[in-house]
Amino acid sequence: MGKQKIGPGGAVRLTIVSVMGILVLLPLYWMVTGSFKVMKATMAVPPEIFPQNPTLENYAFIFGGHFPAFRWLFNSALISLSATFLSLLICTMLGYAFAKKQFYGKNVLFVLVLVTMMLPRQSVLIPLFQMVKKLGLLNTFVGAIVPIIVWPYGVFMMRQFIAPLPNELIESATIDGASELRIFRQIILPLSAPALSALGVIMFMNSWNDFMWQSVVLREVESWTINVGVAVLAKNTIGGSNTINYGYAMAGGVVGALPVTLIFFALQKYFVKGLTMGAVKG
Amino acid sequence: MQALKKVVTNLYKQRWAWFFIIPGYIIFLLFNIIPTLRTVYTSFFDYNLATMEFAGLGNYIKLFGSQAFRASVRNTLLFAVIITPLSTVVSLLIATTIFPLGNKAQSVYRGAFFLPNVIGGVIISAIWLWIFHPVYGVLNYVLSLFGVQPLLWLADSKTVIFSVVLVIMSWTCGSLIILYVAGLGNIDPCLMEAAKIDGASPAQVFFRITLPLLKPVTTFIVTTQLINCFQLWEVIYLLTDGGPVNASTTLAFDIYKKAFLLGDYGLAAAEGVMLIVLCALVSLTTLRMVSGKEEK
Repeated sequence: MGKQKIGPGGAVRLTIVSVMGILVLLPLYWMVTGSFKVMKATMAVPPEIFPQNPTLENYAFIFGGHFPAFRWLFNSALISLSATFLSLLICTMLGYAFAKKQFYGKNVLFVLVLVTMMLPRQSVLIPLFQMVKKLGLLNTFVGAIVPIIVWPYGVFMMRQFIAPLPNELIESATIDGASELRIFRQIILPLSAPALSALGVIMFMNSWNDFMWQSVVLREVESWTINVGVAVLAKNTIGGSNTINYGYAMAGGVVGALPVTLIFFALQKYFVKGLTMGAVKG
Repeated sequence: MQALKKVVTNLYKQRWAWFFIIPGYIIFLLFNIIPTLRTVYTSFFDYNLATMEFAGLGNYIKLFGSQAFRASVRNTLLFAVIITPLSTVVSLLIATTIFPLGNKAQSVYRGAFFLPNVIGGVIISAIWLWIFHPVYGVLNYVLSLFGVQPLLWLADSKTVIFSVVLVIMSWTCGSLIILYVAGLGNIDPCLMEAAKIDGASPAQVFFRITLPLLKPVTTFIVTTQLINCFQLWEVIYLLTDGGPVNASTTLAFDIYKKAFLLGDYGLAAAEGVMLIVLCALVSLTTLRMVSGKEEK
């Protein structure tokens, strides 16, 4: 898309938008600088715009002093990576069957998936929790992962993506004697790569930030994800103090924000594609 | 007998379809459908850690009499009615402003607005919790420079809705901006050029060409924003716990509170059913509005 002329009105609007952009990013600045402040500095009035006596105390505290933040990061990464991988596999399998296969009850089964797209998770929180508990999956990765891997939106998108792929490809492979598994692995999966990469980054982000379910199902400190840890640090007084030490929470926030920020900047175009593939054609 | 034989042969022919369907569908039934049915079922029981007795519509009657429930419904609708139009309009304005820029500048702006979304509601809310602190929060300090008296923000029922909306706006607009920028990129620039040559003012071009052509994107955004508002949870959990005195509680949060803090599963299930009904009503209404208008 070529550049268009920006009139004087456009310049004013651009300035306002730039100010808004800075305002959106300022809290992140406050988090990063706050993570290097001792408790007294986090409570200073007027606040220190830049930490005057920067300290690594907060990081030391959460990385071993009192909390296993490294473990939390590992848990977050493992849960979101496995959830993303399994979800993409399951969504492609379902999407492929709904797009290209004939079977009893196909439409009913597909509509049922679509209907749950609108279902708020909070409404099924209790039975879901009880089922996971009954299966002995509390405090386990499996308990955090399995309930989110059938992602109705992902199933729908994969069906939409696979449906227009030419049937001749599948037919000629069948005639050549390729097995169904081989067709799936060597034709459907490679051709779905653009959709999978776009959906994959969104699923990764969703499962990384699947805080509600994680906080319900992961109850032991060792099994927490980084988001659960940050929530605890931000809401509770820790270590005999009677006020909340926001320095700890900010350090946790930096640790949690860093990996997803790096991933986002490395894969920005896939994020854009993943977000827009449902709403915008092309 | 003949018919049965045919079914069996067909099932055998369909075996590969079932191979791809069954693993995912078992998980789907176990973790989506059965919990939904169980929510409906348990909503008719007096159900907590100690008992499970049939109660008919008891939970629903209790629910409609409860102050917390009425506050939750009111706040959920309030958040939806404020956030959905506000975030849609603000994102559209930002998107149209940054769209004419070059690709590089455009993606810098897009990235800046989307970053909070990537980092997630928990961390963003944790930062704002500190910013809003009445005594040593930076917001009250900055306002004091302009002579504004310190506000309680999250602890005052008059400011709490505004504070939560502010956090959500800073957190969620990024994805809407990306959607609108992509939508704008799909509009054929010739249409605008032609209109300009015909003497249309920029406002006319915007309202007569850009806006109607963005309608599919707008519909998508409004629907997802409404659903997101009905599911507001982590921001409430971190910032306010629904307080002060239910002033910012939402249906989604109240369900959690009733179930996990008060242990009243039956009542929470009844509230869950109400949330499902609300979401279904809104989805069906928007769907009907969209498809109805397209038929004309």
